[in-house]
Amino acid sequence: MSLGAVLLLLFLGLLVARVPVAAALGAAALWVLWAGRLGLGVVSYNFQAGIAKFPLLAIPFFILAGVVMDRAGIAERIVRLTVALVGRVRAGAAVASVAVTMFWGAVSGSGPATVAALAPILVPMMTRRGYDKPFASVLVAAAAELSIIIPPSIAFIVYATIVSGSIAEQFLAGFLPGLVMGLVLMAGAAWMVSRRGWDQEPDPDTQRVPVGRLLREAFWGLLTPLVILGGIYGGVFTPTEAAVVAVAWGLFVGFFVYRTLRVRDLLGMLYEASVSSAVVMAIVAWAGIFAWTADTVGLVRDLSRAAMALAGRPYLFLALLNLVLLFLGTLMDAVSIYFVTVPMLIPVLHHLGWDPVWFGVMMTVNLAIGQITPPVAVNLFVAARVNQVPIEQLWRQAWLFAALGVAGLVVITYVPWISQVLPRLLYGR
Amino acid sequence: MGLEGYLAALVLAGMVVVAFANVLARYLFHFPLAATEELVTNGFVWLTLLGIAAGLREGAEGAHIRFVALTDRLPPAGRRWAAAFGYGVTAAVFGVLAYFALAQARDEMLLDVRSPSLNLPNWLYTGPTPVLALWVAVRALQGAGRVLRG
Repeated sequence: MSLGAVLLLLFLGLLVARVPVAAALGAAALWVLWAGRLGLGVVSYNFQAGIAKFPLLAIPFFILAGVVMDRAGIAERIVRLTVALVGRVRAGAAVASVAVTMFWGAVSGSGPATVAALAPILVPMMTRRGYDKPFASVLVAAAAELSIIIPPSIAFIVYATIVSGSIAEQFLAGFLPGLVMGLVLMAGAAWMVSRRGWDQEPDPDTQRVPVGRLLREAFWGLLTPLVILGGIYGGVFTPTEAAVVAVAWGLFVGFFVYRTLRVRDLLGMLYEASVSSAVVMAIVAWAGIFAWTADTVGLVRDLSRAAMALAGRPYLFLALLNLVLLFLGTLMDAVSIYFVTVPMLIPVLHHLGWDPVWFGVMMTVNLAIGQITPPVAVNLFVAARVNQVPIEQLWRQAWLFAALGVAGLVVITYVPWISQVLPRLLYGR
Repeated sequence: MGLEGYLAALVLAGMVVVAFANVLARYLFHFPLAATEELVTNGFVWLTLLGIAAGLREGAEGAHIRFVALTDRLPPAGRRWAAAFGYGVTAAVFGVLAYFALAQARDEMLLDVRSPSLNLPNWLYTGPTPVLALWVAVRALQGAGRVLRG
């Protein structure tokens, strides 16, 4: 058996045997480097160089910013405002939940973090209006997919680093596709809610709410995406700088405006962000070594050639690629999928003259759907845990939302304009 | 929260302060602290290893992402062994890393490798890596013991 096959099979074998993804990637790579006498000594250099990259610093900083803004109570105030604004329409609670989650996508770059921040607020709000708890939990988990499509996005940071592209441009490309996915989800959720006969009368509570006061309360939180994205696209900050400014902004709002944070909260927030960041970065580091090994033993070249054979029929190739990515998305997390598949797809992209920025958006939408499809569905697991619903009750409902995601994916795949128009306008390519 | 948790929080706080100071220096005083990039990116390596160690102690099987659908079908004893195996592989991988990171740090000390912007001895950055990688390996072994005891 060739070393490339050993690498792939060993990884998959360890993965299904409950070995953490990072360790499974690392162990397969180490074994092949040793068996092929390729020099294990590079591992230490690769591990450290794979992490010590300035653009990747945006990952811990955006994670910390999300934790700070969650604890500062920014989400709660935005939920109150949104419910007051759209709570009067039919299925208003569902529409408001998707809208809030889309907004939070412009604050947070991680799906599970968005679920953890919003599900404890949104799910009780929906159940009070008569929604069934598993449905409400799945809705939040599905809408949280948008966190990795709407900028900022940890997935885009990793993708842009692998293809050596611009993170700022990749972020911008995700904006309209995120909006499209959000609208598809909103319409689908409203339809499902109406069919079940929930939430058809305007909520009497929202009639009396003073919208002006809620707007004043939410104002500082509403400015957050402006600080992050305005800073990046005004040409003021790099994405990494924008992330650290977002941390400072969250601390400012929490300590001085809302006065919801105390100094003793800092340790817990820093700890939580450190662990969440390390979970992602462990995979980045070992997947980088795995990808390097795959390239060295010729696996990347072989798979690339196989993919190239199909590239003569681009539409069919795209459809097949989407199916493979959706399948991988059900088994693995987004970061490892990028490292395993992107290096072999780059030559194909060049060959077909496809735009890597659009391609990154399409890939990410696939992997976003993977966040709610069993068996590995990070968003669903978090939603089940924070709302104390048995995960089995979420599986059945999740497929409906995954189907909505696929509808959005088809549009984004075959209409590249949606992903390309904003980067073209701003960067003139 | 174990010692690595406090250390991780401290390193992350330091990274935020240095990176934010750099932004301020650049925009308010037009005085970029380009050299700080080196401090922050190397701190990121320590943060990651400390965070990995801390994550291994969260919950029964650690915070790290893994595929459980297949092994969940096993009887409880089989599942425990699978979890212990996962911890064991983690320990082995980081043990190997610790070994080669020690070699790297020793080489850098011997050859007097200097950091690119601050011109510091590079082993100041890479020296802690073998210790931290070993720390991860030890926490993983402890995790294996924990799940086997049930």
